[in-house]
Amino acid sequence: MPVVLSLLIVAWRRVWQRRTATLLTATSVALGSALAVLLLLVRAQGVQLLAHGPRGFDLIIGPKGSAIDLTLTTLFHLESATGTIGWSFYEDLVRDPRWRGAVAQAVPLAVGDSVDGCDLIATTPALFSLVNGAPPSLPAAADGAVALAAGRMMRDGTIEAVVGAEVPRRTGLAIGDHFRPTHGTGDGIDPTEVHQRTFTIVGVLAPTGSVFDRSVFVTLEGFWSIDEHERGLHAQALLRAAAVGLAGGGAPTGAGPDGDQDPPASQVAADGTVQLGLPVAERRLSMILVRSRGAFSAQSILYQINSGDQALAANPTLVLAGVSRTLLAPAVRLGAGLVSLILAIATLGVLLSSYHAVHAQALELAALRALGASRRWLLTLISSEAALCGLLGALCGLVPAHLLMAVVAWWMGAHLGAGTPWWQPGWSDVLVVVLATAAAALAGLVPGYAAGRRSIAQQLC
Amino acid sequence: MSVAVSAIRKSYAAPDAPRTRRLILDLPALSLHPGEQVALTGPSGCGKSTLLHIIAGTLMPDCGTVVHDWDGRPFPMTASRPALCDRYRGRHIGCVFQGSHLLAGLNARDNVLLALTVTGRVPNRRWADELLDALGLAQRAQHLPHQLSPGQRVRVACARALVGCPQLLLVDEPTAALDAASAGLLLDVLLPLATQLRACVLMITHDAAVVARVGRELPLATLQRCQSC
Repeated sequence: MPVVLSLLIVAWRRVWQRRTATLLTATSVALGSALAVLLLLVRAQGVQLLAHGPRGFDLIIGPKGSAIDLTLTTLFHLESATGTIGWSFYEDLVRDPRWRGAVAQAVPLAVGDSVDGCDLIATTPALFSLVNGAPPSLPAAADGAVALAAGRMMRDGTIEAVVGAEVPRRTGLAIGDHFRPTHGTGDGIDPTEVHQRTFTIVGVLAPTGSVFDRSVFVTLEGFWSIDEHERGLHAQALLRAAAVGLAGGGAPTGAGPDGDQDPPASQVAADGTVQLGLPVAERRLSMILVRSRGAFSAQSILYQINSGDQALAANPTLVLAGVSRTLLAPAVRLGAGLVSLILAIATLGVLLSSYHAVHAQALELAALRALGASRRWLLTLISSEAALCGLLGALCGLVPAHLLMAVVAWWMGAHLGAGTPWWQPGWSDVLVVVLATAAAALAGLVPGYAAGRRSIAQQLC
Repeated sequence: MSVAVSAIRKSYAAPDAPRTRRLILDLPALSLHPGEQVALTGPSGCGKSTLLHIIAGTLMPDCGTVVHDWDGRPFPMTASRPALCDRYRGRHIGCVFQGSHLLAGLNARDNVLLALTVTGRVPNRRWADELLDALGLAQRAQHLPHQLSPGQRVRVACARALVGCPQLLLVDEPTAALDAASAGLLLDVLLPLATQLRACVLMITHDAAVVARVGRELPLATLQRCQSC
């Protein structure tokens, strides 16, 4: 291969000889490449995020409202829960023979509090078996599966808690520490609204690459035993009863299931077990995760629940596909169009730079022809020079692309709990580098062809 | 190698009247014999460089033929496709044109080896170094063209023309940029090297000392059919 190597060396020396112009041209290619790589990386992250959203369950049941809100709240904690459904609805779902044929497993969730910026999820240990598709006692090896990194699982009906892998780093909490949740989630919370109930951390989960990593898990009994929750849920029950009375044509009585008396306060035994004062009828949930017995069962549950007026059922896979189709895909198409435009302009820059170089170095090129260089050799040389310029620019563009991706990955990790390694080169890097180099090489063909058509004698005489 | 030129005419568009053609060259016949060293002389503008380019195949005449004969194998330069002319020129002809026209990004050695690279031959570094050494540039092999004097650049251009062992060496005023001593030194090396390679030399010059060094003088103005050329 000495001939090919020599041609490339000659091309490189000529490119290096006009390095200032090359650098300027390569910068424009680098800008286009950086944006293209960034777009592809973000798209890949988005696709991965949406693809890995629901694990182990195929339905989310929540209060009537928006299926998108319910899905985004459940999977990514992007929205605040806007309503509740009764505990009795959950009990029906798992006990009523009408549902049992379709529901394989259901896990209740209650949300609305946080701990130092980490969302608090009240649930049962069954959540982890649902997500893993296996009992929590078994070590989960599958990608994204939930496993304990340290400590033990919280016990049902206690004020124990387990925390996601990121929580110790974010809050400084560790196994054995106690915490009191703050009312509300997201940026708008009042840090002084701290609940009085104290929870004890008994375990830390292994990293999952999901929102679980920055979540704090407590039991539903512990969540309901919070004094403000007890009183709030009781007040809600009174309001619902009053609303039912009004709808029935009677006068508002203000009396709920247990009259207007506050329920007896919950008690916590020495072993951490909670004796709930809140009546069963007043216990509320934010959402229920359901694993159905199959696609037909899922569709049947979805149809039956959405036909009623009690709750909303959403298929997260379909919702995310819809979000992807209606929001992500057009955005990616728009971005791809812009990036194509930028790359086309950069390629045009390579063409102009190459054309200028051919004009400025006409004597050198004529001398090469006089030495016996064929038009094809000259074409290859000038195309190679343009390709080297494109390659240099594309490679330089990878650095800012991955640095920008680091910011995006940080944001996704912080807000969606799904950050992925941003420094790893992938197929998008290779694709953009190859495309930019090929486009530059093609751009070099035009001045290369023109150089071959010039009169040697006219240049040299 | 021998070269036979017959009935060559070449005209250019006049710069002040583009529709008018100005006849530059009107040469009935010219022959170069194997191993011959010839000085092509004449006043400026009489078509010396034009003739050199036509013989090299880098310029096509309006009419007439140029036939190269290499060991009994004729090559009609004026009737061949440009790609064949390029290939033939790269393999059998060495050119040193006015101004050395070295590639600015390559050092002296690589400029010499370039003549082999562009024609698809394996660069012979040792042979290039021997030529540079013979031309007194052994210490300048790594120097870039801008680090060389005009005389040194001409010598590199000569080495570049000789590295492919051509059978015909076309040289356009090699000593124009040199003082008398440097010019003499260049000829002292160039002509014996050409003899050693058994190359035919056609050299344009205005220098009587150069004419005296080569075997035969061709005063182009007197050879032309049109005396106004």
